[in-house]
Amino acid sequence: MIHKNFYDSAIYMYMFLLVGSCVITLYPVFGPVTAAFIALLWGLLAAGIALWMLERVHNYQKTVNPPHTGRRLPDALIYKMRRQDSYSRGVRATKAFSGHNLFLLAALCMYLVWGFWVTAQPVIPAALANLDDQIEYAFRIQQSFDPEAYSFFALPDIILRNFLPLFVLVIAFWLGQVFGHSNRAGDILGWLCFGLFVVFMVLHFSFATPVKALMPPDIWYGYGWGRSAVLQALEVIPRGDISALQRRIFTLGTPGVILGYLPGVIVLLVLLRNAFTKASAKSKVAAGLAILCALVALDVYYPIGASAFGMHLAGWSALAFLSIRGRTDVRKIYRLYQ
Amino acid sequence: MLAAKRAPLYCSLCLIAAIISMALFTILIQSRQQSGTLWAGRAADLYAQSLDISQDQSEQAQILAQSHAAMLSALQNDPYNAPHWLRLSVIERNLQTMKGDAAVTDAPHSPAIDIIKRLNAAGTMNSADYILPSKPSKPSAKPD
Repeated sequence: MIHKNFYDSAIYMYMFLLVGSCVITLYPVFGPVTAAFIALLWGLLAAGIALWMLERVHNYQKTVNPPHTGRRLPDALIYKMRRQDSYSRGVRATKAFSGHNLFLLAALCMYLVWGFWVTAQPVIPAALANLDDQIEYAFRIQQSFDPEAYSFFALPDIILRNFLPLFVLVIAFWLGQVFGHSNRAGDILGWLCFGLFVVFMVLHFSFATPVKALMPPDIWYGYGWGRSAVLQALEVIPRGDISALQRRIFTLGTPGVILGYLPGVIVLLVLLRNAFTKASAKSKVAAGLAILCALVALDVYYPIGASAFGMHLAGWSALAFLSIRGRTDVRKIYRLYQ
Repeated sequence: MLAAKRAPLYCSLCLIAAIISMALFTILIQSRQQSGTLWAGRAADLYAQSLDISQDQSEQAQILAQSHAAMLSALQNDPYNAPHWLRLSVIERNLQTMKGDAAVTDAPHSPAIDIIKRLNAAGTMNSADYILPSKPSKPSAKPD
């Protein structure tokens, strides 16, 4: 393919960024700053695509100014047809703002708001309160210490650390939908993402050790993000590796678990709708359902970590392509001679 | 129809701008944990300097006190870090030793010990592993 414009390059950037982001999660140095770098790159790509779409939505057709006007008719026609093709891509890309994507965004917002609320107003277990008292006593030795102004947790750090990976998933999903709707190679991209997911799933399930299946306690209101390590040290949370589901129950409580799985449920319903309305190939629906099952198994039985995030990233990117309906091209009417 | 698509595009641009800002904030602004690690590194360096026997005892005590203050700053940034508390307890013990043997026996019980016990109930930490300076100390001016 010859790189003609930003859009063509953006597809390559999307795939490279996706593979790169997934691979980097396998390195042991993956931390909040690495996640922030990845989020920055994804954010820049998404900004570029959003501006590209915005250009097409803003009276793109009315501003046609073909070169060599009046000199050679074929040049003018080819120019106008190319421009029409680019315009159509932009219009198709706006299907990424479909209703179920807005539901997904709303579900994510609810999860983030709940997470923020619980982290800002957490339940402090007695063991942690006792430890905080001891630490405060130790700090009082220092004359400059002001107990009124001091907080044991840096809320902005914790919030950013927990929000950014989710935003990376959101951008990857949205860009996947944009390319899936607007590009004729959308199916191929979808299967490439699915292949990436399968590779990551095999790697993860082969090398990661499943956690002990502890019966999760019934916690309505959690201890908030950012406190898991100290609560494990104090044995409020069981020591050792715990699964993402177990950690979510302890940190965000039962509502956090429900809200955390809500996007998955929405995508499941979309896949089922596509299956029953025959709007999508059965193989795509089956692949999407398999990805959802694998992600649930990952959440329930495997320890939380960077490579699990890589698997989620590959999975949600593949789901973005697999959950869209088949192409329904309408007949284009070129108004070339007006 | 297209005009109706502009609003979600503008909203998504705002969201993307917010994400980019958050990512930049995380990259450029030091987190409290990072500040704690840097303060702990400084404390370890000062501690290593204080062991330099070419200096007189008052200088050593002064450097050790600075190391103690740096370690407390590290802990204020990262209060649940058990290795930091272990480093603080080592520095405190040396500080008390420097003040004299009598002071060691009469010294009040350090809260750091209790905190380490709570944060590291398994007791698997060794102070020798956690007090190493982040860079080698300068060679002493006078050869031993």
